[in-house]
Amino acid sequence: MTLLLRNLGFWLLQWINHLGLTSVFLGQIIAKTGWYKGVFSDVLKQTYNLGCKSFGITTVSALFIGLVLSLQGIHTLEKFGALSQLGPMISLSILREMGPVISALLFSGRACSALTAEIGLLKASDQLDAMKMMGIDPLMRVIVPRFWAGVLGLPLLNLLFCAVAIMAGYWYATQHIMLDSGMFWANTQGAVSWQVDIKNCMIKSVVFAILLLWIALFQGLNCNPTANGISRSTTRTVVLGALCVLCSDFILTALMIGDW
Amino acid sequence: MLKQRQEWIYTSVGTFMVLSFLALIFLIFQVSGVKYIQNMQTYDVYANFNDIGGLRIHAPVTISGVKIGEVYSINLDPNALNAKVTLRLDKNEKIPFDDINARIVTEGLLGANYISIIPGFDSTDKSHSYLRAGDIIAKTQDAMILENLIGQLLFNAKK
Amino acid sequence: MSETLIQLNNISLSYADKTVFSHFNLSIPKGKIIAVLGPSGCGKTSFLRLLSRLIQANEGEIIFNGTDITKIPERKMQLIRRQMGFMFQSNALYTDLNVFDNIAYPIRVHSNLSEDLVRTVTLMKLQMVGLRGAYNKMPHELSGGMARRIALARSLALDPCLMLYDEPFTGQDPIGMQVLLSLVKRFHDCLKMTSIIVSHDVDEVCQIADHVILFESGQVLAQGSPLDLINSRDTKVSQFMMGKLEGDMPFHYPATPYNKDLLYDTIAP
Repeated sequence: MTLLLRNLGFWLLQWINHLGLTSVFLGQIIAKTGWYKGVFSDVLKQTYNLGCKSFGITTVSALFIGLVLSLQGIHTLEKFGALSQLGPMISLSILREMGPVISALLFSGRACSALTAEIGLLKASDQLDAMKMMGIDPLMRVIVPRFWAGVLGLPLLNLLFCAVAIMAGYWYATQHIMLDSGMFWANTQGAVSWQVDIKNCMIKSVVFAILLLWIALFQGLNCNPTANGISRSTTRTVVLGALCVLCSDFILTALMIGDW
Repeated sequence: MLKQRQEWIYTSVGTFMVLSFLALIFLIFQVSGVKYIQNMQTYDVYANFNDIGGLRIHAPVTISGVKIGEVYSINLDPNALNAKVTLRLDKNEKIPFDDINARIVTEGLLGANYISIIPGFDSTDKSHSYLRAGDIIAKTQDAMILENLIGQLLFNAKK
Repeated sequence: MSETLIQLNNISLSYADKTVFSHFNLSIPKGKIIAVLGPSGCGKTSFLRLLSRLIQANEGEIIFNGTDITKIPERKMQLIRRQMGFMFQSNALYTDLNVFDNIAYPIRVHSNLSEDLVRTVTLMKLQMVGLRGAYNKMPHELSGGMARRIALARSLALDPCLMLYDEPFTGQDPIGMQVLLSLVKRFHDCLKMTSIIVSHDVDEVCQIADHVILFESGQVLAQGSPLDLINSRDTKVSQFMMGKLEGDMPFHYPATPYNKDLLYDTIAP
């Protein structure tokens, strides 16, 4: 029995240590954000790697999610004669929940796993040590640009996701069941308020971006410099990232529910 | 780094940002309908109700079904203990003041509440013919409370 | 002539369960080519990493040109590291950049030279190692010997005063090895710097070394000029330098005699 308690206490202390280590890491990233020659071109290149390359998967997923949402919505609302509420249903579910969460999950799977693998490989092949030996801080020149590129890229992807999904839903409703487009947009505009819905959507997206990139960069830097170690870090990034996104989504929604 | 690749990166990131910005514009204007009130000049008028029912802030204020403003705030009048509602209206239309009536109506049967204004006649009093800032609408009609209606119906049915 | 460049005092370093150094003292003379030899696992690579502070000692001090580098903050250490060059065993070339950008990277970061001057200096470094024609290649397209020479050129990009080589001659063909040896010697003489070479190739390194230090289990077994060590009468030293199989250096790890009782301990309930 005491053995169990001792192990539990040890595990708890380790977990607290780990949390402290990761928090210090995040603090270091923010503290070392600074100008150096060529910083903008680095951030731009990383925005391309993280954001632009995820453009395809985000827009195609948004298209299909919008279509499915519209299809299901029509099927259910028809029974209540509430087809006029299709517009608000699609827009609000996308803007409030599905947009930020699904674009964050897609980003985590595509961009964050690639990021962890890349940094793990840089560490395993001694390139980060080589940079240190030249008097160049690898945290400032490798990690920080990737962090801010992701924090910039995910909210933009989120906007694209929401817009494409809503347009896809609108297209399906008006083309296939001949829903009146005026009614769709009028009801949507009545239900969606930009101060509350769109602002909260962006806040969620920024919070998710910070969490996902923090996890990805930390796992990359602290992986075992072996093939197995890199693969485990990459999977841990995706799994941990997904869990953190969903958990923080709940917390943020609970905080924001007063506005709605 | 080859020059072409550098150019391609700049172009892609620029396009990505432009598309995201367009998506934001779309979301703001088409999906949430920011056309009203924020851009135009407005003025405030007041109306007192005994029971506002389910009226909320940002509920539309209409004349003949056309939205001309929204409910800005709802307060409790400490003296008369009724609801003092502030209506924020567009400066565009001139609404005749004399004999003006404000009613709380429901969208459909179970929908949200909004305010419908029935304008008065052209006034004989030329100095105050149109609604202006700070006016208090005297004639008001409260929200229809469904429970009262059902109670009345049952009462009548019993008779 | 031989003033001390680096002085290590009372260094102790241990990893999770293994003590690498314990109360270790050494002084590195200035201006010489110093070869660090020793069997595998005796702490040679940890020694190099301690000197460049890629790892921190548990206790003790390392005085480099009058500054104790174990106590200073990281930012000051970055400034000191610009005077050091480190050549990794795995070359550690930047895989995303081509050869030219690899060598130009430290120059671009640490100086304000215009692109023309950067180009001139980089091509000069490439010419010094004989690979000016390969400036456009990516690191994965290079052969082993070429990659080694590029790594050498990159570590020399900022003209350091101390060069640290971590097993630079492993896996090289005989000609490549001679090329590298002559390059190391030539740079050392031209730039008047101190070179510390950790290597396993005793014969080759002794061709160019001025001073040899022999490690064993975290202690200095012997040091002196190459001839002194080759003619040494200490059995351990001569076993290592001649590469003999039998001798005092233990073959088994851990070096304990095989005990039949151990077998029964694991089987008995």
